[in-house]
Amino acid sequence: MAAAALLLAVPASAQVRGAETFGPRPFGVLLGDVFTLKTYVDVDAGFRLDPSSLPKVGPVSYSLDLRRIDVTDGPAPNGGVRYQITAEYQTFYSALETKEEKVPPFTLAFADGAGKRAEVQAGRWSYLTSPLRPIASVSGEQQYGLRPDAAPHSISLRRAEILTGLAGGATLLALALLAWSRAWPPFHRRPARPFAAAARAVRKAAGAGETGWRAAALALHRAFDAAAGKRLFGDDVAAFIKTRPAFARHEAAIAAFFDASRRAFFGEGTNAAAALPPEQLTRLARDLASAERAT
Amino acid sequence: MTLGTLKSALPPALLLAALVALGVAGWRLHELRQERAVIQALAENHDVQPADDASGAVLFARAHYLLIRNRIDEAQGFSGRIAERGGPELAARFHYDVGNARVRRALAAMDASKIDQAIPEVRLAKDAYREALHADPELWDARYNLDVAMRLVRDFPELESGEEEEVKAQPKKLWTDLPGLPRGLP
Repeated sequence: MAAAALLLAVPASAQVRGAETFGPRPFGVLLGDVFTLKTYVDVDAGFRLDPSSLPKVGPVSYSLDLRRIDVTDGPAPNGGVRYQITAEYQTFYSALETKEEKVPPFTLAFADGAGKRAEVQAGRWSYLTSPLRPIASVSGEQQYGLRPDAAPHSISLRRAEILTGLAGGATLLALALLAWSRAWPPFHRRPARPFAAAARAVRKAAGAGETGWRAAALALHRAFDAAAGKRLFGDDVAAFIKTRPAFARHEAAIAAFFDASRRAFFGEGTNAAAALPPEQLTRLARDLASAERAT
Repeated sequence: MTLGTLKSALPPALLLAALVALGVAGWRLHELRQERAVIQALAENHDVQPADDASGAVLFARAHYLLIRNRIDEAQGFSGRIAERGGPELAARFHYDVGNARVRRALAAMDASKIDQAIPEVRLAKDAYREALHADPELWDARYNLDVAMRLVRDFPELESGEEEEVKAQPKKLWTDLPGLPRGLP
C-alpha cells in the first residue's frame, strides 16, 4: 500500500513543479484586516487544474474567512502552464497579545486528458497578529466602552441641484436657438428670415376678405423682395429659385401665387381670392418659412 | 436627409432633449428632497415609515431609528434591502449598528444579573460585526467593537482541529470575563 502511494506520488511531483505562495508583510496584522495571497503553480503540458479542488469562499477557520479566490493561467518556461491563484482572506482573530496565526494550506488537483491526476498542497502562510486594545482598560474609558453608532447622514442635494440647473440652462439655450431659427420674438426682425415674418402676417390677414387677401399678398411680396435683394416679379421667379434651391420644391405654388397676384392687382376687377384661396396662400407662406430655415 | 433639413430639424430636437433632461433631473431632485425629509423626520424622533421603493439611505435611517429603541427584530427586516440598494458601505454601517444594539442589550441583561440572556446576545453581536467588516473592512469602529465583544464572551468552538493545536490545548468550554457579581453599589 505504501509502495503504491509512493509510485503514485513520484510522477505527481514531476508533473507539478513547485507551488510557491507570496503574501504581504507577515506582521502587524489586525482584527478585520484583508490580505491577499498569491500562489504560483507550474504544471506540465496537458494537465489542467480541477476547479472543484479550489477552496470554497467562506469561513476557513473560526477566525479566518476566505473572501474571494481567482485563478488565471499563463505559459510556464517548459511549455507547461503556470497557474496564478489569488486568494483574499480576512482575519477576525481578536489577539490579546502579539501572536503567530496560520493560514491553512489547500490541496490543488490537476488532471490530464488520460485521467492521470496529480495533487499539490499550496497556500500555506503564517503571520503575526497584534491586539487593537490593551488587556487592562484604557484610563478614563468605561469598562465596556463601545464606539458610538454609525448615525445616518442626510442626503446631499448638491449634485441633483446642479444637474437640474444645468438642464434648465440647456433648455433655455435650446429655446433661444429655436426662436432664433424660426424668427420668433425677440428675433422676429431677423433679416435672414423674411418669410417667417410674412407667414405670421399672412396667417392674420389672409382670411379677412378681399382687402385682407391683398394685404397678405403684399406681405408675401415684400418677403420675396427681401429674400431676393431686389423687387421680384413673376418673370424673375425661375432665376430666383436657381439661387435659392431650398425653395425649388414649391416652384409651382410660387408661380401660381405670382399669377394670382398679377390678376388681383393689375387685372380687371376679378376676384383674386378665387384664383388662390386664402388657405392655400397661408400654406404657401408657411411652407416658404419652413424652407427658408433649411437654407 | 440633407444638410438643410438637418439644420431646420436640429433646434426643435435639441429643445426636446433638453426638456426631457430637465424633467428627469427635476424629478430626481424632487425624490431626493422627499427622502431627505423622511431622514430628517426620523432623526427628530418621528415614527415615519419609509416607502416601499425607498433608497438605501432612507431604509438605513429607519433601521437606525428602530435599533436605538431596542427594536432589533424589526430592524433586521431591512437587512437585505439596505445591502441591495445602499451598497456594501451602508450595509456595513447597518450591521455595525445591529451589533451595537445587541451589545447594549447584553450589557443591560448583565446589569440585571441575567448572564444566560447576555451570552447569546453577545454572540449575535459578534456575527453582526463580522458581517459589517465583511461588507466594509475599513469600518474601524466595527473592528474595535468586535474586539470588545470578543473579550466580553470569548468562545472556542469545538470544531477546531488539526491545524489549530493551540486551540486544542485550551479547555473546550465557554470562557468569559463577564463579572460574576452584578456591578452597583459596594
